[in-house]
Amino acid sequence: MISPTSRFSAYMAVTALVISVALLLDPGALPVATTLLALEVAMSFHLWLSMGAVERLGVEVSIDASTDREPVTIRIRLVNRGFYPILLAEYSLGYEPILRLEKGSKAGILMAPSRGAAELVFVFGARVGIHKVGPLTLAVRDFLGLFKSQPIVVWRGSSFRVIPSTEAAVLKRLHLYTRSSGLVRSRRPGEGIEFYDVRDYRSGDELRRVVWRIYASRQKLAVWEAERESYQAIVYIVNSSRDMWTGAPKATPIEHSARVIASIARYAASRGYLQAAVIVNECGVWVSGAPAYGRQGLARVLETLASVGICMAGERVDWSKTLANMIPSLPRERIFIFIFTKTTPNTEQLLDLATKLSTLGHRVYIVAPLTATYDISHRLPQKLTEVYRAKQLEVATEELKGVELLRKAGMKVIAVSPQLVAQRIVQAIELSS
Amino acid sequence: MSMQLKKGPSQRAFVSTALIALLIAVGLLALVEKGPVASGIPIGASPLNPMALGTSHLVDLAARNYSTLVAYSFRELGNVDGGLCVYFTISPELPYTVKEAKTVISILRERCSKLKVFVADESTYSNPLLQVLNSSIRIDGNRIYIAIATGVKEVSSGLALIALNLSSPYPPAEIIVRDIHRLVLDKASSVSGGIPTGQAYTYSDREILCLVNSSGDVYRCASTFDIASKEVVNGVNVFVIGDGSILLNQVLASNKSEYLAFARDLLSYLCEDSPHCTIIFDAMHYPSISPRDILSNPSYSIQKLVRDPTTLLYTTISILAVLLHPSLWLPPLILGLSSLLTVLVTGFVSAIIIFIFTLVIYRILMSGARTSRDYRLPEQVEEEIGVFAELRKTIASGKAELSKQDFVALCQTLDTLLKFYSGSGLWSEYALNVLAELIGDEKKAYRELQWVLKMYGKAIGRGRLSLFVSWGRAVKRLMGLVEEVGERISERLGVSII
Repeated sequence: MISPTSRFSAYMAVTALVISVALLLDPGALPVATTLLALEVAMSFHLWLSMGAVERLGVEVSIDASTDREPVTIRIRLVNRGFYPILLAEYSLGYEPILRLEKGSKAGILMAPSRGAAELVFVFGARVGIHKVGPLTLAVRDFLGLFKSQPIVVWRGSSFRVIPSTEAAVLKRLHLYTRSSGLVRSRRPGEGIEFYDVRDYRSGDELRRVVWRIYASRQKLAVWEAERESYQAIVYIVNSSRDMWTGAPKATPIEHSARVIASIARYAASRGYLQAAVIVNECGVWVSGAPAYGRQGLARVLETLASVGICMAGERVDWSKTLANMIPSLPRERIFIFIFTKTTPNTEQLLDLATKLSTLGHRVYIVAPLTATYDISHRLPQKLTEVYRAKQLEVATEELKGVELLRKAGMKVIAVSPQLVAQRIVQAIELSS
Repeated sequence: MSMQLKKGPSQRAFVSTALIALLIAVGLLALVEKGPVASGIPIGASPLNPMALGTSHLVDLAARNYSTLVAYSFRELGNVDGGLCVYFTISPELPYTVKEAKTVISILRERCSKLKVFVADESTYSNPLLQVLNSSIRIDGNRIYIAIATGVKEVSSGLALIALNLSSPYPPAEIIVRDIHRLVLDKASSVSGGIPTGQAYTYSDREILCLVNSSGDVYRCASTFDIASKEVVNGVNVFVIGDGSILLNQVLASNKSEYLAFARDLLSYLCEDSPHCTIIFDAMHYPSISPRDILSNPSYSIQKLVRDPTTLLYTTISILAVLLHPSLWLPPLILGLSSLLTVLVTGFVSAIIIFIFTLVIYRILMSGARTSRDYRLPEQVEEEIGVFAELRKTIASGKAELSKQDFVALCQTLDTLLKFYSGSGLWSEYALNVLAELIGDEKKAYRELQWVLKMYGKAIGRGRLSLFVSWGRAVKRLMGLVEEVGERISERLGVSII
């Protein structure tokens, strides 16, 4: 739909004046009046043709998104299939407010020649989770700005997923730590391939386990025993509520937690552990399914983390729903459950969830990132910094009180600095084997 | 997933509106001073005409290998600075005068070390140019027709008049440049003088070529006629063809490649394959139609200009370019405004009448039109969300101040920290010991603890002293203490708390 702008009123007022002068005073003004009217008609006709071209635009979109290390590149190709060129179209791209456009312009002017195409390239900084980009809206004007089309949505938008990258440094630290401390050993005889000890032969022992060298020297049958391979089942519950997105892009508690989980999950997959993930936010609960072994488990965890999204609706996370949703997927045997969450605002519900899971025999750890430690860049003038810091400390106090409450109730809370989170979790898993 | 589109924050302009208006006014005046983009739409075989009957394609072709110059006034000829110059004139629509021809040749002789003149014309308009060059070549200005003898018309005094039927003005011809080119001419004229380099002939022996004069009478017939000649006069090479249509855009752009090959060979021959060659295309002898002419006599103009959709588009754009140029509308507008002002000042009654009339016309023109303000499309706003987003906005707006409530809250923070570390809070009997252990200075710990407790009492209304307190300063001091305690705890426990 085409509507005249306020410029059109002014233009027509001038035209009316020239016409009156031509009719009443000076016929010499008639060519000018005719020109003014003709120009108005020409502009209207041009816009009508441009609108037709915009409505028939073909849109080809390619989204290149992988991990949060590489930027997300979105190419939108607008193909003008008609013979009439789109000469003056204003565009505006909508996207989630938390995304940061690094290259490209979110709004501007574009031209699409007849039988040609215009390509818009947008490069966003990748953030873990599922994000929506779009719609792309176009509005067409004539050269003089007398008429303007209503905004036309040429592309409704699309979602893309970004999986968290593993931090090589964290992985290396994990392997070094577990190797040097001997944590990965179960220190019990059983099924496995690592040597544990040599003991006397008992009836029923396999002959291939007999150590013939001992028999040759001592004339006594002895067999070697393997160390029982330890394996665990781990479920990561991640709170992706709005508060977990506090801080600088890519360095928010949720994104840091996702990278830590990805690193631990890769480590655990290499050890053949069972793994699953659950995402919780104000909009609902997403469960990856029952814990799976090795690489399959890792894939499930990463896929679920890539589904982390921001919910702009809803007030709070409903932890009771979390329990109801994940219970069917939990195995009967003891598993490790790590809940990555802020301890406030509904600490009681969180405590209730942790208690119920503990009652079922599972080992529950609450990993509590303190949001104040993540909010490092506030971009405030120096004179306001101290006021901000004071208010920030009040929030930190609330969170610490939450940690305190959970600890008093007997919950294991990991509230360490971000660099140590992965190490503490692995320590918890391996020491409990 | 919700999307948030907001209008961008209003920003103060660096350049004021008045300055922009002034710059626009200066720009408009400069444009008026410079004159219109073109005096009108060129017609005929003008090198400025990109339509079917123009020769702009030839200019483009020449520009690929040589310097080219389109001379639409004698002033442009003064810019020529070359060794070898070739002056092209193709089917001029306005005749050369001897004076003009002399001027052209004298300028070119002066500016170029070597001069060649190429004429492709079926009229006699170019002959003054040849005359000035002292060339013996002339274009006869007739038309060569293919004719078929239909019988003997009359026999008298021993002469037999043969009845002829003029079948076509498109005879085939051979023109020798470097290669021999076989082309079909379009209403060509014979040429005389010089060394013949091209001849028109017939398709079959049954046919004959006849020359028809301007009144339409056949005055001579033969099997061939010269249609191209060349000669060298006073060091100037002259090449003449009695037909300009073989170099028009419609011919060069057609799917018949022989014309393009001819044009290439001609350019290459005349320029002697030298990259230092300058080709000057005459654009002075073609009329142009001004937009005023088109508006005053649309039927004539349309008949002359609009031949196909491309021409229509070009004409429309050219007219728009001229119409939009301030040189057309600004002077009449200022004059109009001036006369309007005069009317308003001198005749109040007529001003009222004009005003009312304007209002009526405006209402008629605007009937049914619902205007709206032309806002730009809303831009996506990138926002931070989370616990501190709102807090940051409040503080940035300057609404937040430090108060005694903040002091109380920070006391609770200190209490929580101490409990977190040792289990004993700020108000416990062990607080001093814990604080001293963390700070590492018992006296300082005592001093700070006493101050905190005293100020806390004042903040909650239990104590009276001190009488005058700056809560902003007090909060900042307490914050320093809290941060110090936090750092010590994180050093000891590996726990980053604040």
